[in-house]
Amino acid sequence: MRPWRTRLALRRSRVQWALLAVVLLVATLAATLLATLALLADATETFAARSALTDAPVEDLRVVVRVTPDAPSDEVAAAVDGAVDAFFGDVPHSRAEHRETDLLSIPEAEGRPLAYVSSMDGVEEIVAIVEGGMPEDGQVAVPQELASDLGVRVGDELALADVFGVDDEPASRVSGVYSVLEPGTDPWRLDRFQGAAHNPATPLPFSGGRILLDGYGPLLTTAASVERYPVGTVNLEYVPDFSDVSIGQAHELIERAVELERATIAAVGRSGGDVRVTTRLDATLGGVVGSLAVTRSSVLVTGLLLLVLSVAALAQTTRLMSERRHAEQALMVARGASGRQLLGLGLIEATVLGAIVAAVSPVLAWLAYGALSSRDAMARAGMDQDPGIPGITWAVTGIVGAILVIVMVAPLLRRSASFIEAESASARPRRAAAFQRGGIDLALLVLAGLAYWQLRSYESPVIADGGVARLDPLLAAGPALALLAGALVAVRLIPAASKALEGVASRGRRAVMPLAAWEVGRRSARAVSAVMLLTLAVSIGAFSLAYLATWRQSQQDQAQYLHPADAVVTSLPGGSAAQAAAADRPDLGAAASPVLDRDAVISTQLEQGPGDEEPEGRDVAIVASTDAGLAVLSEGRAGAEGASRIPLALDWTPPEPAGIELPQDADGFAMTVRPSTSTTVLTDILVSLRAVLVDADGRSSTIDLGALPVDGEDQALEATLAPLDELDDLARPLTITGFQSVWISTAGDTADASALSSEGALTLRLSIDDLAALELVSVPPVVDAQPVLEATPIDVDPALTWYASENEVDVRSLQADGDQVRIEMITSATALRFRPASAVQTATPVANDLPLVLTSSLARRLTVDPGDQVRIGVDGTSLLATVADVVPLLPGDAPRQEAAVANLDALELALVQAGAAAATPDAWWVDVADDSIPAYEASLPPQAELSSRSGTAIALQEDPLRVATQAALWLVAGAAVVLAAVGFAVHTVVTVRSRHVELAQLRAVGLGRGELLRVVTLESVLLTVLGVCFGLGLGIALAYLVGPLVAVGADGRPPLPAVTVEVPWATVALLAVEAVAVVVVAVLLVAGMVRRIDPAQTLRTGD
Amino acid sequence: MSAEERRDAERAGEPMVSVERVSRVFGYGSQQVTALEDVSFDVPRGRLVALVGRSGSGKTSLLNCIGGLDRPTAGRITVDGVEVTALSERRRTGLRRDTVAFVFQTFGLVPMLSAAENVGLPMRLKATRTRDREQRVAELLDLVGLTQHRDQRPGELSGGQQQRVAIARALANEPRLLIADEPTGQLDADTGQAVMALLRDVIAAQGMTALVSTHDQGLMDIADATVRLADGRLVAEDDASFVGTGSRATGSEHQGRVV
Repeated sequence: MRPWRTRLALRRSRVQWALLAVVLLVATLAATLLATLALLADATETFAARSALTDAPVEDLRVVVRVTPDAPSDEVAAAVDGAVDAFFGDVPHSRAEHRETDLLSIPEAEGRPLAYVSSMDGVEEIVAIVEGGMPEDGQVAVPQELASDLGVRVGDELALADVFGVDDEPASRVSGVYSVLEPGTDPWRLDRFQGAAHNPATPLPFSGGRILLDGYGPLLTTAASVERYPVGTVNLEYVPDFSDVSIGQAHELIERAVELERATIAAVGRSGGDVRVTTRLDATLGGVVGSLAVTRSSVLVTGLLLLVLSVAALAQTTRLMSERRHAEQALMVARGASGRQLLGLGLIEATVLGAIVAAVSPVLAWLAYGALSSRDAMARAGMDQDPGIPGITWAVTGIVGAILVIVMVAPLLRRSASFIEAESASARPRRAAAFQRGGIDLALLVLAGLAYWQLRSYESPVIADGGVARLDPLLAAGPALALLAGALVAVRLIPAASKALEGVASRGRRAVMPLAAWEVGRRSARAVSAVMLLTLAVSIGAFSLAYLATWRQSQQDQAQYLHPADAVVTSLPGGSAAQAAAADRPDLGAAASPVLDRDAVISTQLEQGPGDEEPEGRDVAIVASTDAGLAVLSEGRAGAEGASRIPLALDWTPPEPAGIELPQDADGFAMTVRPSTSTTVLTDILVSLRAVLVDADGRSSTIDLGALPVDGEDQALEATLAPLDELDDLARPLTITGFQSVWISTAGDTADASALSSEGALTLRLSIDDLAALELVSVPPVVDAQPVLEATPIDVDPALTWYASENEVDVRSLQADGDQVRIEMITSATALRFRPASAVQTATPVANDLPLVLTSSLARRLTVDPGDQVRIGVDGTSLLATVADVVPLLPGDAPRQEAAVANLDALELALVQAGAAAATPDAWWVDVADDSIPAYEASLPPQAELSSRSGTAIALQEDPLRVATQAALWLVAGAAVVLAAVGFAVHTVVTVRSRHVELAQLRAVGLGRGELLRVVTLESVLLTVLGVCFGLGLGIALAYLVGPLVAVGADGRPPLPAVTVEVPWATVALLAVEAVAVVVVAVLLVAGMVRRIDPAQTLRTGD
Repeated sequence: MSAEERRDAERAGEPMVSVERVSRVFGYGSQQVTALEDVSFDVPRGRLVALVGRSGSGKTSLLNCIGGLDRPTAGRITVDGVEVTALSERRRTGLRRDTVAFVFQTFGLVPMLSAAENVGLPMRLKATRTRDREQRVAELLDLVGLTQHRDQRPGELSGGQQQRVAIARALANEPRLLIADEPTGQLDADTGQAVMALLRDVIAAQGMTALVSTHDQGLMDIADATVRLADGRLVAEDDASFVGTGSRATGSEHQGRVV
């Protein structure tokens, strides 16, 4: 580097420090803003991703391996450990083991109850010893339910045997009695009874689930001792610790997750029969990576917009600087300076400025991030940590520094125009240059059009790549290209607009307006750069504000779709009545409706094959609620988009209850049942019997009457309604509308197959007589005394018509024929040997047309229309249904694109008529005011889970992985105004400065100081009006065109419901006002300059 | 007789320009430069007076002070009976708009405006009716021989053509005093002569007073009188037309009157 150049550059910078300071200010501002965005994106990856993973529920992170061991458990566990350790790699993780035996029996206890033995890591934390102590080897601790029911005490020897009581298992001494802390909670999920300790209806293995016995467990012991018994399952749970994990490690885990199950099965080999790996970790990681991609997409989209604005501001500033130096350059050329020498000089200056920008901006960005991250939402998202200055920040500021060097040096690379050429160009723009610019504009327009078309095709800048959302930078550049193309098109309208203005202004008498219009219209290069800057700034600001409002509205819409009601309560304990008592709290302003929300299978194949309990078809979700519950679907966007048709289509009137009406105050009923069969080969048939009752409101429920041996003998049965009342809180009077009977052969393989096949048809007959209503007379004042019930015979109308629905049987007769109720059916002994036979006789006609509303995507897949029949399988029960209507989408969890909705009362009736037990609600939709939700939530039982619409909307917006989106949009909206303000002020000042002589000449010919100020002000106003109009138009057009494509959901796909563009007109108007404020500031700056113009001095010195 | 005509009649005997003991000192930091020192002279109405002197002799400073673009540090200047040195900024602007017109060495045209628009500009400042303005612009362009170039912008005209436009613009509001600061300074000799001839013709035609600073001997030859400045002072000139008052003239310094 030649020293004279450096010296000259230094001298020049000392003289022109103000000019260079302005360039430095604009470049530093742009670089700082872009670096802050980069820092935001980087911090989201580091802090927010880590925060999202560490805050994720353990069930979303853990890996559970369940093995049915064929070898000692230790061997199995070691094999699984090896596979899982390899999967986690360097990600730290905890491990817990749970071993559980198959069901055993306690042979010495009455009724031979069932039990199982377990060893559980960390069990000390989830049980409380009430007597004795924790077990050592060879000992067991028993649940207090077992101790009290079976009279087992600490120190007793507890004998165990196989479920048939044939083979003895080792006895264990009872070391202690424990109670379960928080049964049903997560730590108990691997337990067979989930911590309930006692299940009075434990299905006896090999009985087809129809023989139910008392079951107790777990009998806790040590890991070594559990090996003395037949270990049924070894569960290993691994929970990763993501507190110091990078997103790169998360990517690796996602990739390895594909192989996890195969690798574990291979590792276990022959040591295990059944190996099952359960984890949502890959989905959780995929969700985090996807959300990150979405955030990156938002930050990149806004960052690119800001980059366009920054480059425009830089280009304008340096162009103004170059204009300002035009005379100086010309002088230097005239004195013999070569182009290379001028370039060298400019390069020194630009490099120094670029280096300062690249060095200072990261620090400023770090400070800006500190201010930004201290905001509440950012702090809550875990973003208020020191991110340091990562490499990406240096890279961004380095790029801005390089851009600065390029835009500063580029004018020096142009071929020097001769004096004549320069003068001619200043008089009137060259046609060739206009064509050249037109060509560039056209190319950019085509490029923007292509980008937009691609973006529309993909519907999002985030694309799924092997199941993981990935940001496509080219698609993310679409909005920036569209913005740039739009701004260029807009500024090309300036000459036309100002021509029209000129035309009007020229006709007038005065000078001020024409002078301003001439300046704007004829010095188009200057006007274009100022209008372009304002257009870009205002459009970016308007787009950012509209994007932000759209994004927020979309989050609220998504929250509404996730929550059909104000609040959704799940995991309530107990039956319908208990749940209703907890959920429906008028005293707290909360009205709750029960909801059935289950998986179902739907098919257009209406005929069922033998033994088909569920139709083969598409897996869908079925949601059912009462009329009141369905009515909430009409609210908000969901309702507006078609869900309001659901309650209308599913409006259901229950049929008149027909059957055997029980007295108003009945406490139960009694009857004599005689089940009989024609077979002589199958001698061990059981019939499980349920009564179907309908209350005064038309609600159906069932009551178990127990399992009876089919021996042709009369058997007396009594059923009390107390449990039913507790469960379902039914409205009296109740009517027995039917009976469900399930016939089971427990012979299994022991039956003589040849004898069975020779037997052929088999008649099953159920006679019910002596029906009587029971009324509680008294309860003797003795512990455990049986209540005294008085029976009143019930007359059954002999003309009562019975209907039947059956499975695996052919119902022959529903005639009473001397009995009060009788059902007789034909099946085959061979069929009964393998599958239970069931039939329901009901006094209400079997509807076979359950009305369903389907989502349109499901209807399309099934190719059904309203009025068509489908078959739907719910909880193993197959029902015929009719499509009542088709709606676009159904609100609820997850994207429910394929779902069916039913009226809960209609569904329950259909289920009990098809032989199923009445279902317990899965959730409650609660109509409650937002401010009452905390009190309402506090009133719920601890097991209950509540999620509110407003809470979800906030959570969606303040999700650690999404909060950066809002921060970026605010930053860009603010930055746009700041850059516009600085850029416009610089433009105005430098333009006025460079027109000093011209303005002095105008003063010399008689233009007053005030008039001159009005000319300059009017020029600024014209530029601002054009910039603001173009900017608002472009920004809002961009919001409508591109907004729905970039405001993607958490998974990177278009959100549900579809995005509707929201333009916050008041805020956008404020943006326009801010732009006007920018003009005011610029004019105030210029006013001083104009006032200081001394025509004599200026004309004398020529500057 | 209108009030203006009456005023004209009353002022007929008075000089158009009266410069009395005018000094102009410029301050550049701690340094002070005296551009004009104690200059006095009168310019009668309807005369073309050449102001000559070397570069830096104070010609432009003097013209600026007379035209109201600048204020002298001391002394008194009267133009058309109005004491310019006592006027407010606003009134001086009005003077430049209505009474005095400038022609600059650098032409002083607005680059973005066509020849016709440049000529019409002073009339816009006076809010002349559009039709009158357009008519006058056409006349003036015809006068300076640029009717064919009315839509061309300064950058598209030669130097001579630009100065003709500047002259036409100067004449737009029919000023009483035309001040031209080296109007041929940027022109070649032939073009300069042509411009000077035009200037002389239009001054004669319009009957106005003109004060023209120049190095051009040709103009000095055709001028009614010549005022010579040296180092900011009026110096005696071997010029029959120059009549100094003599009362305060010492040596080469003169206080004079142009007759």
